[in-house]
Amino acid sequence: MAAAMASAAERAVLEEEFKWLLQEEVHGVLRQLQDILKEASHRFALPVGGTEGPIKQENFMLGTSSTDQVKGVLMLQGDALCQADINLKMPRNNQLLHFTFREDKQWKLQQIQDARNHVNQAIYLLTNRDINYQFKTGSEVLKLMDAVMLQLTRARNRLTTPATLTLPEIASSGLTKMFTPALPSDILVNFYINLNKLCLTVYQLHALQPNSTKNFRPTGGSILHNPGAMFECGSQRYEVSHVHKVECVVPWLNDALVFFTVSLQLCQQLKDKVRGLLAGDSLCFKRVSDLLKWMT
Amino acid sequence: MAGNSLVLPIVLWGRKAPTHCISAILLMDDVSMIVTGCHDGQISLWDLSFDLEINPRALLFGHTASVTCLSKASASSEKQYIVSASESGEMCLWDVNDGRCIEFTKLACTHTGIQFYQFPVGTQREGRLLCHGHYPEILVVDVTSLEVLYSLVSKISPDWISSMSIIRSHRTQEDTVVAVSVTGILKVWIITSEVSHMQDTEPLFEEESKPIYCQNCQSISFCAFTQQSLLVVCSKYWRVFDAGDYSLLCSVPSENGQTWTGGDFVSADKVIIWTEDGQSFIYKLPASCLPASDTFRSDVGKAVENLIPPLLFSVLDRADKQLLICPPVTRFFYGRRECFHKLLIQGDSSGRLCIWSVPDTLEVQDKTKGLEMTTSTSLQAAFHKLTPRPAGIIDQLSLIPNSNEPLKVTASVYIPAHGRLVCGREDGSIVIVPATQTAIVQLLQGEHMLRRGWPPHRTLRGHRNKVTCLLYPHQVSPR
Repeated sequence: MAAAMASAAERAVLEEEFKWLLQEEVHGVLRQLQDILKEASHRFALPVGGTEGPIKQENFMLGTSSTDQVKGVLMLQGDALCQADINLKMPRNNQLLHFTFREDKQWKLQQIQDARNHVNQAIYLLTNRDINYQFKTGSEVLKLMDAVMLQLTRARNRLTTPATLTLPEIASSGLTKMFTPALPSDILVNFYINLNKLCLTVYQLHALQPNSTKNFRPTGGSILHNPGAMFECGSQRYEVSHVHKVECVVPWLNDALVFFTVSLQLCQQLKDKVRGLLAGDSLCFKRVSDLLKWMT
Repeated sequence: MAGNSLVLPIVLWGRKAPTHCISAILLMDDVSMIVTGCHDGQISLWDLSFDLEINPRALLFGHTASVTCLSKASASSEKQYIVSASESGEMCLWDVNDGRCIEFTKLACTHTGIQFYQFPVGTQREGRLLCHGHYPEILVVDVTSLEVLYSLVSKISPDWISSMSIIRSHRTQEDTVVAVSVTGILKVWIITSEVSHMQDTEPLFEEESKPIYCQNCQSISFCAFTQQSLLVVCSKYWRVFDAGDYSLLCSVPSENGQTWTGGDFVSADKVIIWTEDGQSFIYKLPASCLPASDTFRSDVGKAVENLIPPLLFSVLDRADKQLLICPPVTRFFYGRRECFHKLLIQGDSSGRLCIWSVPDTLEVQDKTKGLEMTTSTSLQAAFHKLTPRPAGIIDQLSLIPNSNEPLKVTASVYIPAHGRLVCGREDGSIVIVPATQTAIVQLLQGEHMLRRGWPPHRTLRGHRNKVTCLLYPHQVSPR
């Protein structure tokens, strides 16, 4: 609509709007973004250089219903599981097995550390762009928003997309050696974050005999494997007979995801405003015409 | 484009140079070529003459996301290989003599820094690439196959690595990798020749993990002149550490709200540190930082505020302060071949390269003048210098009376089924031309030059404003 308007008065209005955008509106949005992202960063609650005292530990109960064959109490401290208490009811003999992490063993949830680092990168990009910084062009604002949105999208993806692992990778992950009493050789355990939930998966395996008539097809990588998946580890072939998955919502992960969504929306709205003005669409005219439409 | 048969595309660029918002810079060892990566994923090769004249030669297409880092990937002077990494995890190995992509791989994570190093394997030295990025370890990658051989991991506070430097000790014949993690912890790995020799190497754990409380570390450099100090540049301060026991020797904060983005040693007693705005400062280190002086390490153990500060020696500033849309990339290179150039090279968002040649004997500069820029050029400047001017695809049909510039093409679609190119222009007209014939007009001489209005074309007029989008639906779906 406004691109064809060559009238000097209209161009002057566009220029005033653009100056206002770069000097006032952009800084307002950036301040909001900084506040939200600092809140998000606090949720990840990791000390910096050991100066902030002990990190809080939170317990999560996974699998609370009586029908669950797997129950777990996990203690999460920052980005690592520092204690795990797992109860497993074996289906064939109703035997109850109990495992805990060996003393001083921790399992790091890389997804949380990566998400935290991406949030901190986004905060860093915004740090030197406060009220004292003068944006000279709209393109500068667009480029900054693109960079911030990339980090926030990555942060969110790290939480929503757990790693796809093959069964041999899960078997050799080091997690199996962290328990006491030692995990039996026909049990595999894996932890991951899926969206806002902490998940525990337990795979019950049954060894395939070398002369078995079953057609052996090793399964590829997956977030969650199904019963019937086969793999080879060392010289022994296995098939997954049972899969148990229990999970629990982590409230601060939920908060963080909400903060990411809100921040991404703020960035996109600012980009749309800047792009619109660069293309010659006046915000002022839009508002006036909206007002007129509403009045008539 | 990996493979034996080479297809050389020829490009009709038009008068306007492609945008090249520089995101990474590399100077080849023989100081004959500068390689720049940009935010759109392209890599530009610039020839550098003996008297430091820059001339862009080629643009390499391959990455689909912005280039995060560049590194040399070969030691010998015959093969000139480089490796590039992008935001989407792509890694490419290029031969910069002819622009071929030799190897390509895609990892799950982004690299933010790659360094080439020759590690001793048995009696020989083999080239390896050390990579760090958005993952909590340093990957050691084979330089020809781009496969990960093993990794350097941390037992204590494993986290992403911000920057890394490789130190060769002539005394112990060991290679030490020193890195700073995003949480400000210094990590040291020692790589002996047995480690590099093993197949299927297990991850190597760190030798030492020392918190040095350096937040937002931008770069770490080992002093090649004294072999005894480390320069760590963070966004709000830069520091010099003793490379033997990593104790702090001096610290300089940033002023006027500026942000440091990197630095390096220019001589045994001077360092150059650059900022986000593209300014660079040369400092003379106090005697307490110089191994040769009697008062070396006299400040160790003192609080940061009480350390003797280095003196500001010289300021290097850009000649024309063009409006930039993102911070420029600055790097210092110390040529090791015939010409011992010390060059500070800066690339910015307008596709411009600036070079300052730092003389070996720096006299005290007049603080107001600073060290002047030696040379500078941009892609657009190089385009302007060409005669005849670079041609666009339908320039001969787009002449505007009273104007030097042809009518701009704002949208286009190529229809292979009919061999036609359709161009929408900024005045609203649409021109349909036979594609190969119109290319011939620009590239070859022949009878067609005598005919006016050639190649035969159709012009559609209907829009009043610039054409923003063209679609040939039949090409997308026959229905």
